[in-house]
Amino acid sequence: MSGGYCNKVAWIDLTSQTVCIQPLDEDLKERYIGGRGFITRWLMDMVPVGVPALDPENVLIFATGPLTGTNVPTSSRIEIGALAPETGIYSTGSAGGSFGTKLKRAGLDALVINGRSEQPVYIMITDAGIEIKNAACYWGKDIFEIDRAIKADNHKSRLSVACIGQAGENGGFLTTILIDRVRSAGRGGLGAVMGSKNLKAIAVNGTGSVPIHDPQTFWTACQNVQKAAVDKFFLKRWEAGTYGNLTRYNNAGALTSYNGQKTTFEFIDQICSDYYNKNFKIATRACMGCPMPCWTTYTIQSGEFKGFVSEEATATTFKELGARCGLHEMDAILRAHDDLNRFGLDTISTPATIAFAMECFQRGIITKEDTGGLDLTWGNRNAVIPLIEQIAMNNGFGAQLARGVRICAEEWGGEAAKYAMHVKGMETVGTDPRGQPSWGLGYATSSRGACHMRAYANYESGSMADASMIRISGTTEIRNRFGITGKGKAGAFLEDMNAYGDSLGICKLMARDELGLPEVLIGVLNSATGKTYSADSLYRVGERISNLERIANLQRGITPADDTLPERYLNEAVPEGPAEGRVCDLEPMLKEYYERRDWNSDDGYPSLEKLKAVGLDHEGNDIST
Amino acid sequence: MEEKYLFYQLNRCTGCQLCVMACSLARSGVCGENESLISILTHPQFGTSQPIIEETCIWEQCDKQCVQVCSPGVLYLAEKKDWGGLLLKQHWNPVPVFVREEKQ
Repeated sequence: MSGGYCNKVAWIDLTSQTVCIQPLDEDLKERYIGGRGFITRWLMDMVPVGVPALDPENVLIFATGPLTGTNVPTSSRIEIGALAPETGIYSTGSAGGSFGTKLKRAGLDALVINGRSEQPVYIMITDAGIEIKNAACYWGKDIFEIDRAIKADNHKSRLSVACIGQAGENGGFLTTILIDRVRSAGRGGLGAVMGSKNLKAIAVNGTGSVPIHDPQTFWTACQNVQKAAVDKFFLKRWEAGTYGNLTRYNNAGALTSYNGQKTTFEFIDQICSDYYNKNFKIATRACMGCPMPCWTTYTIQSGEFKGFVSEEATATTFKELGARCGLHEMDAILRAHDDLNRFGLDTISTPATIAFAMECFQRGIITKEDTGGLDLTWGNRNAVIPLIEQIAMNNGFGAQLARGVRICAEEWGGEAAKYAMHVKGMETVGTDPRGQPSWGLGYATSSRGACHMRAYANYESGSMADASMIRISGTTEIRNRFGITGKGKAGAFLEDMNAYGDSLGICKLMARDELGLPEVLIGVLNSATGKTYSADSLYRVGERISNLERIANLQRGITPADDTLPERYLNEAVPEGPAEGRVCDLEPMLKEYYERRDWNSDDGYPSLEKLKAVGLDHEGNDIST
Repeated sequence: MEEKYLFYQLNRCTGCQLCVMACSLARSGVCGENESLISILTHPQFGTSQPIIEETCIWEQCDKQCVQVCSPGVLYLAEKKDWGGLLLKQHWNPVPVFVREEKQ
């Protein structure tokens, strides 16, 4: 028997309020595996070029992979994708929690949602089937309120809820979709896409099971992966989640501070893991199926927010709200981060946009007259926290920021564009590529705008063994952190590796390094599904997805000129710290990347040979003719 | 048959449910929760978690797959000679047992 998949997809049309369950196409499984691969293929097939992201014709897709909901470590992942309003190109993102697992247990591999409901609705999925229900009473509620209300009203505390907050309802571009309250996916404004469909939430609690082709072999293969994952990551994550990396970025001169005017933060001791663990952390928690717990619950026991209890604090919390906005009071950072989740805002792009506004304020490009009286001095908690609410509610000065740095810079004019840290319209994360060059290439080439998680290169900080990186890049030069040679090849490989990883249904925090290599994962994949992927054929799936995303971007007007970085990273030398004097030397990395990809540097298109090799020559013909 | 009981460490369970899926796979060859003899109770707000086992777990022999996959070391299948020592320690507790009613 085959396993891994449930072999069912739910096609949900919100305009006609109908649900159609259809079998999963065998050829689609073979060529795209699941998750991100499915989403990219379906978007290509279903959303014509020219359809705006907030149009009913845009399609919002939730797709699991064949490993989602299985014993493979970190395999609770759900991939969410649609055409994104902030960038005008596709955005897909992965979230943990328990939604993916519970969807599979309800017997579904994916939900494909199109159209627009006339009234607010939510979708309820149980073993008994799918129901589209009235959500009028839930509209206007925040993430925490809606999560609780849906569970209470249905008397089901074990539901997993994917939903949008007020920010998504109001159509802002800095919005995501939240799962289990604090797990997030859909940068680029997928919260607004869900809101545009009048879809407030999807709640799921399947109690069935995921079939496995060869349970005994699968168990052994899972144990091998798990042992390696636990040996490498458990202690580190248990002690300091992902936020333990903050000090490392600071020590490498790669921590975006004050919107990138510096790459170290002088208040690092007040936002680092030791300080947080000692004064705020309650406990370490895990997503379903993950042996390397990385998120925490916390409480504030003094000051303005005394008595506050919430959940999830990650590297992003402290990097973006802390160093990037110059905020160094931990209680304000935690409260602001909670607000981001509560309103359904992007925890990277929102602080990035606030930091951009702060720099424009510092330089006099905008003044208190523009900000509605808010004093955007660096680190001012009394500006950051109210501004988050304004962005979510789309009012005041926040209504401008809600569309991201690119549009603000265009409207404010002057030098503002110089300080808008984005690629293809999506804001960069707070790791500075002048201190970590591979991230610069990753931002430039990422298929959804400046996303660090497409390549997710961590080898410069020693996370991937030299031997693997030398093999991937073909050069020992790759060991040089500030070097350039080999990084184009490495970037392309890692992007492809993450593309199939996002399609299998596993977490990047495990699969971005050695444990994501195709030879490591074919054991669990083949024993779960009964398929016969080789390392090469699995890698090829990743390459196929990367190239298909590229074609989709080119069709929507992206050119090689868009594969670049904010001017600051290219031309402004770091003024201090371990990366002092450095810029990101992007061009040679990009050239090597294009050659490795076999993409034409003039028009950006993959060569016909490349398209044939990855089985996309049909798409290629469509483009060239 | 040697008597063994499952013990757990208080406040260390992350709620990951890998033990649930391990038991399910070992007993039924599928990944789920209905087939598993171990369940995890998790608080919906605070995420605090603890294991609980179905009565059958006490009588069945297995390769303690649940213990094998527990990365924080929450679970321990204790032989008789260890019971007293564990019961004296406040952070170790026997995993509570429930009886699953026949499905209607």
